[in-house]
Amino acid sequence: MRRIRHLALVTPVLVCTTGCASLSHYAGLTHASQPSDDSLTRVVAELKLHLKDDTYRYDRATTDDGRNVFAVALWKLDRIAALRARPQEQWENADFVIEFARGKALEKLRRYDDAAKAFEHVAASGSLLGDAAAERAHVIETFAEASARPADPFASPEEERVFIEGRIAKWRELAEKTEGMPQQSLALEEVEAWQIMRVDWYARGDRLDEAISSCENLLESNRESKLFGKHLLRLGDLYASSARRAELQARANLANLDPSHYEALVDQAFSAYELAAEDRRPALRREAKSRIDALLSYQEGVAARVP
Amino acid sequence: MSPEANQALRLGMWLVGALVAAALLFLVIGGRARAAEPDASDEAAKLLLAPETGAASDRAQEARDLLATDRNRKIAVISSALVDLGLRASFGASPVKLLQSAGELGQGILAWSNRTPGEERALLLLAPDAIGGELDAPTRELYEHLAVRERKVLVKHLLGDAEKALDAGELRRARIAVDRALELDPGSEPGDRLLDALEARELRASPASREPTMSPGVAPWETSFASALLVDDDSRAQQLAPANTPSAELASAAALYESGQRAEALEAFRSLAQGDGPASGVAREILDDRAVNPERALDDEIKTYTHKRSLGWLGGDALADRGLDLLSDDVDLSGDSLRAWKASYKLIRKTANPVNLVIDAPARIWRDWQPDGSALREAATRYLELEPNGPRAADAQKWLAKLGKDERRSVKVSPFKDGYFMLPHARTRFARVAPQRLVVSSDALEKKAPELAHALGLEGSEAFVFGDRGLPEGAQAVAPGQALELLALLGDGLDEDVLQPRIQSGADVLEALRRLDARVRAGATLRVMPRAPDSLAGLDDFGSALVDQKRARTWGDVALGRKDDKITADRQLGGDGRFCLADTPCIDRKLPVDGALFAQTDAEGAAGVGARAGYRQAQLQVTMGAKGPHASLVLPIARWLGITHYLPVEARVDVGLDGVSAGPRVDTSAADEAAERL
Repeated sequence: MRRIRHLALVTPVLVCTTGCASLSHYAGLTHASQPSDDSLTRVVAELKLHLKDDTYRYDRATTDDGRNVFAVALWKLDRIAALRARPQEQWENADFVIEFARGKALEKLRRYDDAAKAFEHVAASGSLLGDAAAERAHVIETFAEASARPADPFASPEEERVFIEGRIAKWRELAEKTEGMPQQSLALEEVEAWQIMRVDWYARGDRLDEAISSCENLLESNRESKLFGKHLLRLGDLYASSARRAELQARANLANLDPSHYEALVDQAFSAYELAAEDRRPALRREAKSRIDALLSYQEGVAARVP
Repeated sequence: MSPEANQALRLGMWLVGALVAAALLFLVIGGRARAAEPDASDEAAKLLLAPETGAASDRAQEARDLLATDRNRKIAVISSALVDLGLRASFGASPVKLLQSAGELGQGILAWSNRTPGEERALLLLAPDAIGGELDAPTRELYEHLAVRERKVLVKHLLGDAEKALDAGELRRARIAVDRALELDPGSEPGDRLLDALEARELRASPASREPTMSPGVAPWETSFASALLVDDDSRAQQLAPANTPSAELASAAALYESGQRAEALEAFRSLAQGDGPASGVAREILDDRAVNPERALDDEIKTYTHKRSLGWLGGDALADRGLDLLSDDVDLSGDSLRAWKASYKLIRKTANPVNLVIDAPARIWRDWQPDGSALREAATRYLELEPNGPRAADAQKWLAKLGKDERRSVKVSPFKDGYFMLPHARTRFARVAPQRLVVSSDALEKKAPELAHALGLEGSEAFVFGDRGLPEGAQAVAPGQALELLALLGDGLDEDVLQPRIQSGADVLEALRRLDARVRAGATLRVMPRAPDSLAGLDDFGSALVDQKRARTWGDVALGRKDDKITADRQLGGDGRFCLADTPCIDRKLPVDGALFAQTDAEGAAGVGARAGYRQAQLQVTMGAKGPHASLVLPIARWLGITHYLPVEARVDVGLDGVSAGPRVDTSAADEAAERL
């Protein structure tokens, strides 16, 4: 009787929920991908659709098979240029158009130095695109300059920190200068990247308290970033590392374990992971959940060891 | 029992008997299943010795034997599944078990034509003679049949591998597999189809080497047109676009899109997507791109969100998260998909629980349960950014307003306070290492430490909270000597079984006492303050008790609670520790005889009222339910004798309208305690 009642209850629910399903997959309604015409016009059209994308807030657009649209466009443009195979001194207008498009793709790929060179080639040509390229080159050269690698290896960690702080300040300035322009999202990405470097610098130097503070600052200033969930994971890791460090020192009788402080660190680590686990990207959610599990297992061991 | 029911029962039993007999007969006659299969090493030895066995006829016979063995094994599998199904049907097993048996039967039938390891070995045995032309006509026919079957399987594997490689974008691997498959089976239709798809992908992936338009010649109009596009002179680009050229139409639509006329641009893409040329394919891809077509993204997310919400209302988080498999537009009959369907079916079966349908589901609708809306919020925000005046703008704004309100209200979603990042407390429950507060009832203090309690002035409250931190400043300090004495007495009381732990286990409470003791010995000051019990439950608490499976205390010390499908209202003799705090060790006096009056109902609709009493773990319970009065007595004899570890049984006597029954029963609490000790 119980089973009959269950079946009677389940059947309408099942019918209701599955009613929406259709067999479109088998009906062949989907358009199979067709060979594409990769003329210069089409490549430029595809590139143009994504040139104003906000890559700071959203992931870079991808093709249907998961490749970066800017990398694909650059590859196609390089192929067109290779097929034309003209030495630079014999370039025609079409070559300058290709080079200008390459510059735009390189810029979006954050290869500022290469992008600046491409724009300079076009700017020096006197072609139709010369003025636009010169204007573009001016902006991107500042980006290339700001992203230049240090001439010599860092003499000391402090020198590296000063360099990182300098880069953050420089990119912030560029982000303000490019406000309202498509390049602003790139500048914001660079600021964020160097802020991450700063957190990493503190973490590498065993200055976990400052690393945590720096990471919280990273989260405060990048609330809109697509990487917010990853920063939360980073913060959780720092709290978990601090807790582990405290427990290790107590085990080695290097210091007394303050259980309340230790628990506060663990609590904050869990909290950061829980927030990251609410990210809408499944991969990040899984990563956060696995870290929660790992920390839980570790904590069980600690609870058994702490006198 | 009525004569009709009796007759029906007999008929049913006869049918089951006949089914089982038929299955057994089939097994004996058709199956000829062997009791023991030859050992793998024996098989290997036979194969190694095969060339020395001499005559081709011997090898042919051995090959036939191998094939017969495999056939018999398949028959045995089907027979076994059939018998299993019959037995489960006769015992009235659950529908899931029946489906499982039917599935095994189906798998056995489907596997009938599958190639087996025996065929592989038979082919190896026959191959040398076949190559040497020494086989007679029937054996030759058998060999060719086996060879064809081997080729078919190989082609199938190769095509499967090619398909996977194609999906993963590994075109070279796919090409090798398809070419090999077509070499083996030149007329293979699936192979041809896959080859077409592969060539299309190769053309797209490496267009420069194949596409005529990738030749050095760029059409004259393209240069000025692409220039206009690149410098954002979109109006000029549209003027320069030659009519009736799909590529130019595509670029023109892109220019429109960038110029802000997104609705018109998307319309142009849609129009272009109707065609068959390469540009049309690109237009379709663009329309599928959620980053370009915000309407598509918004529609997708609204659909997912509303489906999740409906499922969530019906079955909560679990069904909302996993039930979408049932709503997929594309029906996939792969193994993974079927497993997902099976899991979803189980969830729906759980949903059909009356307690869920009567209490949980209406409560979720009443509370306006909503799934995670971050993806929909992002899609709506993006839509408004790209098409602020688009046809769906009002819809997007409506969703944003709805989601925004919910999200901001939730602390867990927003860790920002006045612009500063502040992590909330974790919701994950983890093993604590810091000394916790401890709640002790006045009855417990009166029982175990009356003089000390009097000396400390611990009177006038139902319970007291002790701790070295986490108490208000005004909490009374206890001198170290008195603190240590009090903690020791409480520990003794638990050991002597005159005090009992509430909420947590005895081991947890003793551990909390030990940690507090260590803190006091290390110099911390133990403080104490009266604990005022919570006020009586309001309507919200009743809701929480029924829906969230919490416990709410009402008038007359009656507590209302729910555990899974069982709802209980009870009044425990001597109280049930209403002064205790959640997740905090709590100590109360233990009465020699504990007891309670209760009323309960469950998902089956059974209801009853009664009383229970316990003494030294023996339990007496009297219930008046729909089936009349019922009494039970449980005597944990093994526990009293101290042999639970070896013999975890207890004696149980039941008395009801059905009669009297008595017998041993497994003491399940013994296993729980063992697990706890571990």
